[in-house]
Formats: sequence, C-alpha cells, structure tokens
Amino acid sequence: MAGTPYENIALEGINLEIEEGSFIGIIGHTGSGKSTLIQHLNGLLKPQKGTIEVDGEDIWEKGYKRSKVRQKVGLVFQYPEHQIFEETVYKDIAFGPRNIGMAEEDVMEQVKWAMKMVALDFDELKDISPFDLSGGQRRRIAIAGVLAMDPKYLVLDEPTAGLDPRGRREILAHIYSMYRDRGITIILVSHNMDEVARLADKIIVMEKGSISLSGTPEEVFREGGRLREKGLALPAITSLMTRLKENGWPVRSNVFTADEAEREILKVLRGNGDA
Amino acid sequence: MEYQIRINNLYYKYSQDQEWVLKNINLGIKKGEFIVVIGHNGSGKSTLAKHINALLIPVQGNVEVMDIDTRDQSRVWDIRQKVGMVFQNPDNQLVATIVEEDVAFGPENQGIAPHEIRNRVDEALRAVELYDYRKHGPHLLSGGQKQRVAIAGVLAMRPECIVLDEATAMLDPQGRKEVMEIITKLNKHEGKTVIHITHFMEEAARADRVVVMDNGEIVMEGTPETVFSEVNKLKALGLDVPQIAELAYRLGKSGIEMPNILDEDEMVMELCRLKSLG
Repeated sequence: MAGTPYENIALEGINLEIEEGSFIGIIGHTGSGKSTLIQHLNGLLKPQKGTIEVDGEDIWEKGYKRSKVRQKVGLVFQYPEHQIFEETVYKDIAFGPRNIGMAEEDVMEQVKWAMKMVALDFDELKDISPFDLSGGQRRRIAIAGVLAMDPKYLVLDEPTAGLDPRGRREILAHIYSMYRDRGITIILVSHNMDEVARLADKIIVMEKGSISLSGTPEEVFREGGRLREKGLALPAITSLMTRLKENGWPVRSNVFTADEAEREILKVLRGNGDA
Repeated sequence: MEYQIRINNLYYKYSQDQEWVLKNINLGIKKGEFIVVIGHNGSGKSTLAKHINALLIPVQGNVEVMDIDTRDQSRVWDIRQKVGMVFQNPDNQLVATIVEEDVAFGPENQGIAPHEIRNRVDEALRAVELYDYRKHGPHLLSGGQKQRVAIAGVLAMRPECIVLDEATAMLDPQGRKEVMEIITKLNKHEGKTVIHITHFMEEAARADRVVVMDNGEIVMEGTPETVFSEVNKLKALGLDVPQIAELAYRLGKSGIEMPNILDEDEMVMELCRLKSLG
C-alpha cells in the first residue's frame, strides 16, 4: 500500500545473479523477504523498480510471454501438498504440463519421469487418490507436479517443513540428484542451516528485504559472529568449531559435518599426544 | 513408584481388520517429568498421545491418569481437564477472533464463574508471555505466538499435564525456540508434566527422558544422553542424531575417551579438558 502509513518495503535493492547449474541456498528470518524474492523469479510478482532477467531476457519487457518463464522456473511453495486437488496422482502431476499445452503422449512421459525423480512408483500410484497417501508422499507428488513441466530452474520454499527426519532426508536426496544428475539449477529456501551448509554451493542471507550476506557456505559461515547477531544459528558443528577456535584450538571453523569435525579434532588431540 | 500417568499393556488398532497400531505399550510418567517422544511418521506417537487424554480408549490394556482409568466414560471430562493437548497446526486450533476469548473458551465450557475465568485467562496469557497481545486477533500473530495462545488455552483449564503433538513441526526456528522456552518454564517452574512429541532431535535433548517409538512399540527409553549415544540404532530407525552427539560417538569410536554429550557447552569443556591433559 504505497503512499499510506501501511507502506512496507518488502524488498529493496536486490542484486543477484544465479548461475545455470548451481545450487543456491536462501536463508533468513520469517519476514526477511525470502518468499517475496522467489515469487519474482517466475513472474508471479512484478518488481516495482528494477528488472528480472531469465536466460538473458527481461521477463517484464513488452512482448515477452510470461508463460515461458513459468515453465522455465518451477516454483514449489511451502506445504505444496495443500494445493493438490485432482482425483488421481496422475491427473494431479499432469495438470501443469497439460496446462502449458504439452502433447498428451509427452505429458505421460513427463509424469513418469517426474515421479521417478522423487521415487514414486508410477504403476502403483498413478490411479490412486493423492488424499489416500501419507503427507510425505503428497509432498513428493506436489514436487513432481512442478518437475513435470520440465523446468530448467527449480525454486523450493522450505520443502522439508513438517516432515519427519526420514522424509526430510529423502526429499533432500531427490533435490540433490536433480541438481547433480540432471543439471537442474536449484534455489532452496530453508531455515535449516545444516541442510543449506551441506548442499548449497552459494548461500544468500536475507535480512529486512535485502541481501545482507552472500557467498560460499565457507565464506558465509565464517561470519559466525555476524550471523549470530542477526539471530541466525550456525550449523551445530560449525558453531562448535568456532567456539574451539575461540578457545585457541588450531582448527578450521568452516566445517559442517561430524566426520570433518572429528578429523580436525583428532589432529589436535593426537598431535598433542605425539609432542 | 508414584506415577501420575500409567500405561499398562496397551494395544490399539483403529479398526477390527487392521493391524495393531500400538503394541504392548508400558510406560509410567511421574508428576513434573519432561518426556520427549520421537519416532518416524506412522510409528504410533500421536496415537499414543491421544490415549493420554481419553481421545482414544485402549482396545486392550489400560491407561490411568491420576488414578482415573480412561475407560471410565463418566470421568472423561475430569481427564481432559487434567491433561491438555496442543496439536501441530497453529492455524487449526484457535476458535475465537480475539486472543483472550480464545483462551477463555475452555473454562467457559466448564461453566466457571466469569471473574474466575478472567483470573485464569490473565494468568495463562502471562505464563506464555502474551498478556500484551490479549486484545489482538489471532490471525495477526506469528506461528509461534499462535501455538503459545493454544498453550494458554490449555493452561486456563489448570491442567497437571500438557501433551504437545508435534506442536513445533510447522514453526520457524524463532517460533520453535519460543514454544520450547515456554514449555520448559512451565515444566521447571510450575511443575507441569510435559509430554512433547517432536521430530527435532535438538528439542529431545532437553527432556528428562526420551521415548523412541517404532512400528507401534517403544523400542528405546532413557536419558537423552544414553538414547542419543546409540547412533547406529537411531539411524536404522530413520531418526537423526544431534550433530554434537554424533561427534561424541565418533570420537569415542576413534579411541578418545568421551562421555555421552549432547550439549555444545559441555563438548567445548570436555574437549578443552582433554587437550590440556595433552
């Protein structure tokens, strides 16, 4: 509501380049602008100032067909299973590709492929009502529905929210293989620092509608103090290693996994023993 | 041993031709205990929770809440007053358009006198640190705040025990932190028994006791330190281990003498102690 006392700038001065084939993690508090930002990526929101280019084309230029960007950039919202509405798994996943006018035989191939990508058995599930399936399965159906449009870029808003640990691991493994094996560019919005640190090759930290920090996980989590000031947690292991370093340990603090941390710690403890 | 809640040889299934959803559950919960229940989806956690306030009645065995058998239908409302439940979705539990009216809903239904309701609502909202929000519409609150309103609604019934069924699952880290702080405070300072079902292993680290469920049975039970030292077993059950616990386990396997540790502070202290021994 511009020009009123309720005016609230949701995003300001964002400059961002996303390379093809990369895995981007976006972190930040609720209300920091993450979801607003990603809705700009496929033209759901129009910037009031500035431009959005996808594959070198300004998506808001006259003559640009917005349906093109909707297909190129797949957007998976939070709790996407709430948007499932069709009677069968097949119809639900096929909705997107049909909607963009794909030929029916191609639709079938796309649905098969998309289901395979998220480890759903096509023959077993295609005629079942999605509402008879578990929450984790419905989530995967919803992701398959976006994937079936064959996007080049896939944006996911908190895809693991509300799932149990096994469900979280499975979804992340599927997303990671889309990136690694299929070369799909992934943009993952997450509150889970451990997830982002392990998977992303670039992290973007949002704060009050702006990008306050960005870089490789190593670069971003090296700024432990700054992140803590913003009220963002470090990955548990990074936090521990940062504390050890502050206590004079000659260890790296840009460590994200327990086995890396183990190696670093053993070096110091055993090194001492030998001396 | 004096138990507030006793679950004896409990079996449950949702329909006759189905398999058991809960099998031979035995569990005693003491007054003022903080229990965390973990297990993957479908392991029976929520079904178990619903037995504690008589939303479900055992098919075999029984559940006693402060010596009342949940099978005794005439006492159902006594049990529901003593055991309050908070559910997963913050948007599905609030019924009124104003925070304080929502909190008053339970005691109003009990037919409590208006001035007493006023006292209870104020007290409950102060306990969840939302007194200043008492005139707000719930839709203007964050997820964490909504769950705290739901907790206040339970508190206004003056329960002995609060059961939280994945009440933090849909919250962001800030909201989770708020809810965990409130329930820890209610447990430590007001002596409320807390039974918290969660998928977040860091939350389990705060419990007096962790109960692990799989396939309708209790498969592990103990302090967080002992339960989370069983890294391989938990992973086989599809569960996570807090990263610090996993590191302690790995260092132990590599021959570093290490107690079971879950907490970052303790880990820093222990490692610094080991280093100084050289």
